[in-house]
Amino acid sequence: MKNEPNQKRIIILSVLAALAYGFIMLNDLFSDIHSVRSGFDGDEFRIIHNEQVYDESQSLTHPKVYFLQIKPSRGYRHYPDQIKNLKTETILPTRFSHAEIAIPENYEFPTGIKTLKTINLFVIFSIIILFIIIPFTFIRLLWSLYNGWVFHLKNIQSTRKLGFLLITTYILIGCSNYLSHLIHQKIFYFQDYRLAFRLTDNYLLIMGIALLLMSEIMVRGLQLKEEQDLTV
Amino acid sequence: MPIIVNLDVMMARRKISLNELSERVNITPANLSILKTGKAKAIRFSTLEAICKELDCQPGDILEWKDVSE
Repeated sequence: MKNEPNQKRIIILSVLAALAYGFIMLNDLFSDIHSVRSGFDGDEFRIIHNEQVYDESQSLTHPKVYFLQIKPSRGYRHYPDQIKNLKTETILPTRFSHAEIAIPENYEFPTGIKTLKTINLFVIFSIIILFIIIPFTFIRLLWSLYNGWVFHLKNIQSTRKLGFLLITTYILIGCSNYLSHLIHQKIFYFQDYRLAFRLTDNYLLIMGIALLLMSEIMVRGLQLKEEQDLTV
Repeated sequence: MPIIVNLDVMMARRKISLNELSERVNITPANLSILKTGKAKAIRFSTLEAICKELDCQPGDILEWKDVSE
């Protein structure tokens, strides 16, 4: 009786967590689905290249499109481009940090690219496997909580497994981004711009560590529960 | 475990069964069995009081400490 409000909160939070997770996954999938099909990730915007605008649909027919994060070489106050604000009809200086670069079909790639791309492909494949395993483990944990099993050995194992999976995913995504950066460095060298490298979002690492910590707390909780169950 | 529960000895002396004792002290037979077999991690004073009252004995008659390192 005393645990009814707590059990209700656990049920509500489990359902909310499942819905939030589903929303995040679908949102990421739809926003990146074009990038996934092109084989790359990142943000993009329309650029003018040789007076031809490359938009999202053309990216499918132009497989050699690279999404790069670039920074100006000259420092903070370099505004290499301008953009017109149509609301006020004024030209504003601006600095772009992301670029979508389209290269011609017959472009000759430097040597060593194929090996890096192959390795990156294996890494990406591993990430995809993890992205399949993680939701199953997460849903299993939520289902167990929904059914009222809080301090249970399987929950502890699931939480610990999720923590390790998230940390592994973080490491693999970082590796993939670094491999992509190495590939881009071999292909591109711009005047007044340099290629920037971003490891990955740190939320995966923080969440993984938090889940591992939570699993240890649950171990303590399970010990207390077992002691309570064996108290006459 | 260093604490030994001699509940079965006292029950034999008083000629009372597990089920009967569990009914009198208002504890489930399963919990009483846990206590009798020494698997219990702790015992509440209220439970100890009820058992001692029914078996007409002292806590020391039921609980015994033995140094396991010997």
